[in-house]
Amino acid sequence: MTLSELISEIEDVISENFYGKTWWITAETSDIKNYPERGYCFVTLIEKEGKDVKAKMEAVIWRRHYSIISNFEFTTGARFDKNLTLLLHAGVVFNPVYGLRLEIYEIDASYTLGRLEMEKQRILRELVKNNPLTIRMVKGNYVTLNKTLPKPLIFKNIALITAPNSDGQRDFIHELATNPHGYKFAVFEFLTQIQGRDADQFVIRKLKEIEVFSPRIDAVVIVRGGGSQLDFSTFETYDIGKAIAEFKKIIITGIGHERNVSIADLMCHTSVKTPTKAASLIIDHNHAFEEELMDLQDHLWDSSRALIRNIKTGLDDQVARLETCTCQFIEKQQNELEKKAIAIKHLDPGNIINRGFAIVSLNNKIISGPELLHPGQEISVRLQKSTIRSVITSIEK
Amino acid sequence: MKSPLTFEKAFNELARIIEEIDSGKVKIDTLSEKINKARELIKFCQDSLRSTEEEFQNAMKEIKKE
Repeated sequence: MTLSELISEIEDVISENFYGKTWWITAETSDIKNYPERGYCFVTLIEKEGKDVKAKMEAVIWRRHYSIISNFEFTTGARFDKNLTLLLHAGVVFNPVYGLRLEIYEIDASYTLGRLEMEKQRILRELVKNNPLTIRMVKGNYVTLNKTLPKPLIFKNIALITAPNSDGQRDFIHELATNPHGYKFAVFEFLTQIQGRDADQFVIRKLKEIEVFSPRIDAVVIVRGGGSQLDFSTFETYDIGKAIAEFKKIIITGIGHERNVSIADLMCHTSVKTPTKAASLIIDHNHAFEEELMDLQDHLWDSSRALIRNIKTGLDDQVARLETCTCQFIEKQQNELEKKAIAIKHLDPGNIINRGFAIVSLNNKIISGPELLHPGQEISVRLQKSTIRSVITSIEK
Repeated sequence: MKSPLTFEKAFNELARIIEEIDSGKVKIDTLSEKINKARELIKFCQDSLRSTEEEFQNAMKEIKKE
């Protein structure tokens, strides 16, 4: 019997038992050899029991089902990579040269999504537990040191972490440069790989570079965008979460996945979905400040006018008071004068005589009392229209 | 030597002048001086929003030196 005859018999047994049948199985990926340009992918599937591998089998995704990889990545936001727990729809295939394999027809992304979400929640719990001073959970929201940093009045100097020659880089810079208000920004680029294995460590390294680069950096912007591969895992690790949460410059992320919020998004100061939105956020912040400045300018004019008005009113009041006082004074003086005039009028001897009194004089001197008078003296008695000369006959006291 | 005017300093100075005018404590003799200063500060802030090019170039020179 030849080898091929033996293999052929094995093939018959396998075909008889497995041909046309499919199964839904759970397994973990331990190695991936992906050939996107050829349209197929080899996957090593394992099942673990504790740390030991309980079962292991090679699997393949052929061209006719190759789109399940991009669908999986789009739905989960995770790169199709090793150490993923998958729920697979597969069949058993046998090839005399390549041996026994599973052929994968479908991947239930929601199953992996659930597992990823559980893993994410575990990492978030760890972050809060291990870093109580910098990461806290308050009323269902993560409050990190970065989140509590005050925004500067305006953003001017921006450190940009993104992949070189990426759409994210172009979109962000273009949006800033073409802002309708003519604001100018200084963008310092810190370019690095932000997808793939250990990319979180590359991003952390760039954050450390920024830390010593310049104290004048107002914000760090981390963006990615474009391309079909939506690998989110860089932004889902404990290390990146901690580094962002504890970073002492405001971090804005624009790495968003349509349906997902990454750990980086939860730990940073502000997260938006896209690089363009990250740029808009910065422009809007500066514009809001300029509007506030214009309000202050209006307020300044209003306050100054009000101040001048108040001073003028005060001056007018003083003038009016002066006028009133002067009038009152003059009136008072006039009254006094009139009173005196009346008094003087009353004292006029002519007026006294008119009222029926008489003026008695002796030797042309007015006599006010009887002291100097003696009987026999001749006195003059002046009346209203005449003077009577009379001789004193007696004086009665 | 007087330190150069920064954006923050300019804005804080502006806020202080406005507060002073608001309080009505400014003398009429100095009002015009205060308004002129406030206008200068507003212009400085607006210019800062639109002219970081030079600062950017200077920073780039610093990097190249390193």
